[in-house]
Amino acid sequence: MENKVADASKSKVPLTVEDLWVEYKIERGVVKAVRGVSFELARGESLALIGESGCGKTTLGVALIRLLVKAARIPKGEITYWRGNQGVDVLSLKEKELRRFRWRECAMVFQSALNAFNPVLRIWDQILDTSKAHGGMPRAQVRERAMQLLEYVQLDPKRVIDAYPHELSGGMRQRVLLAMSLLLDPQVLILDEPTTALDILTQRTIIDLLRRLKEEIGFAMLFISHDLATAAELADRVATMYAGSIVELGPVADIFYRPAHPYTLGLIRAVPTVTGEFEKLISIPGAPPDLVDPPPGCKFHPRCPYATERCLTEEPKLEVHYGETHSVACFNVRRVQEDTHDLQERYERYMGGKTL
Amino acid sequence: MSEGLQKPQYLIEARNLVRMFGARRERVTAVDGVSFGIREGEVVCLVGESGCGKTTTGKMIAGLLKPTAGQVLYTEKPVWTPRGDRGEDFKKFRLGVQIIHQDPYASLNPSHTIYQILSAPLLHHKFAANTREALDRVIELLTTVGLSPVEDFLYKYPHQLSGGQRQRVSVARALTVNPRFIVADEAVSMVDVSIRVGLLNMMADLKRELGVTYLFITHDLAVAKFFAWEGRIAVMYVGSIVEFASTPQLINDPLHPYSKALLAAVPEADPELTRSKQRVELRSQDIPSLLALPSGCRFHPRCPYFEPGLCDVERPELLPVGNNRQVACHIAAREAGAVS
Repeated sequence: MENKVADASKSKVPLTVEDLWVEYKIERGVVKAVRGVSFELARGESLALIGESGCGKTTLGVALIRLLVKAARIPKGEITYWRGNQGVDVLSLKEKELRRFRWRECAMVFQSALNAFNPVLRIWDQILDTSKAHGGMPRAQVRERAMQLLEYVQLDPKRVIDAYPHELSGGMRQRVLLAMSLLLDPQVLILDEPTTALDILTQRTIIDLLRRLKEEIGFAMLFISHDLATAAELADRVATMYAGSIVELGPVADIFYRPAHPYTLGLIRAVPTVTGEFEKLISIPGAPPDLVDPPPGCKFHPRCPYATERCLTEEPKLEVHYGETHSVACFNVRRVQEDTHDLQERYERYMGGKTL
Repeated sequence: MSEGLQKPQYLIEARNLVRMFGARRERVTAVDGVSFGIREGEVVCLVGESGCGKTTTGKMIAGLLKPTAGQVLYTEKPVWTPRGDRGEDFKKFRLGVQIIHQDPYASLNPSHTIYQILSAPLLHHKFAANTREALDRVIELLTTVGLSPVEDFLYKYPHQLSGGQRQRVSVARALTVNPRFIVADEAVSMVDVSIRVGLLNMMADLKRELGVTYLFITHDLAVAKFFAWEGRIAVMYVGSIVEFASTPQLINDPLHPYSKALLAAVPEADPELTRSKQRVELRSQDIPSLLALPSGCRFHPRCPYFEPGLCDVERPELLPVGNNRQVACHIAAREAGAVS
């Protein structure tokens, strides 16, 4: 841990997560929704957490700001938020400190922009409530800041601020939520499926807005998505989650063009691009495991074409693979990568484009 | 279009379909004059954003909604009488045309087993004489949709299945009555990526093996491209079709400014491709309300090609522009040299 502290202050990592576990108690038993997740989130970077429904990605996001439901428990793990080079242990924060942490230091934009608002309150009242709840600023200052932010997200502040949520379209509401999340100047922004329920053209304006936010404000962004395309658009790094664990983590180009985990490769092969010629797609056989009673060994082995004897009993750990930035949890990386040669050309094109 | 006198030209045809909802001042026209024909064995995709009328169109095609005006023809016979009653062949139409709904969690009866869900239509419509025959047929259907071993599924309830498996049951149910035509309304949207391709491939196999014709409704252009690569795509905007072309043409060379904007805006699951796309700048982000539709072309307030005095006055018709494609845009049609 010692050198981690030093590293964190040097590289300006506002959030580190260490071996985090989250469980839910249900009638049938215990759902292990998040199983030993570790990662760091650096300032100015966007990390995409991709995975399918039930893989634990939303639970992980919610756990980071300690908003888990009562049935959930964190048996193990550490979440550290760095105020300068002073580490704050998020899991031991008391209610009052927690309120300061949420929104002022780490804000979350929830999945459904439609339900995130109180339908009987005007936007302004909700903004004011947010500011009050998290120990904000004087009223006049909040108003001024809110107007600025609404304008920043390309809304007409005068029209929006006194409107009720139902008077706004889905895309507008999503933008109001974004503006609200920025109200208290958080260092970390967690976005859960920020563009999922939106139409293509609206989605585009939100994506462009998020990119601008990232470039201009430079906070750390964690966005959770089931949609590979959103990750391809916005992420600097991508983490693939399966059955509660991160199975691969690396720079966006590595994940898309040099995937090393069979599940990541499977996802990439299963998603068509719109433009260009027809591509044959390959589906991943089977279905995600039951997290109450997951299979032994690697959780992906029942669906994995590369699985060997070892995978049936031993669970691979997330280990560094390429350089220092790309890690993967798989025993058969070499064989997986032999099947990704066709993507290599695109990797070079992408990297070439970047340096130019 | 005078060929095909001997053979029915279209298995199903929409003629100037209009559907309104609500009454008086709140009355909206969800679908406003949609016409197209689908040949036997063809796949047509209806794409568009939410509220564009694609589901309403699909429901009218499947006979679940009566058009306010216009006609649906099945094997060239009108489905509705001039008075708006069910035509004489309505039952034949109903059996021949089946629909698969979007939400596999809501479209299956939760208190019935898979066997019950699938055997009911078989027995009701006399596709099976008795329960023994019904069971045989159910087993066959479950195998067709890739739910095997069959014993694992027969006596399960919908809640015991995953979304993908439920959607396969929905497909099997549509197949019970040997339909010639299936309307698939966002049939894979609620299914996870890893399961989606399997489902799409299975549905494509039905086309090859059973000769099923599809109207495939989706908001997802990537899915439309994959499923209908050999078919056609119709793009809908605020109640009408704005462009209709073969899938490769539409995807790689769209003519209508709305189709262009959609294709330029859609994020791609490829960082290089998606970050190097040329965007189409729209003049406005607002989708018009159905209660206050713009004059002339419905897209004109947002359209980068907008010509005052033309686009805000005259509503463009869906016109053939050669190459077997149609577009409803004054400017695109002019450039493509349409004959009006």
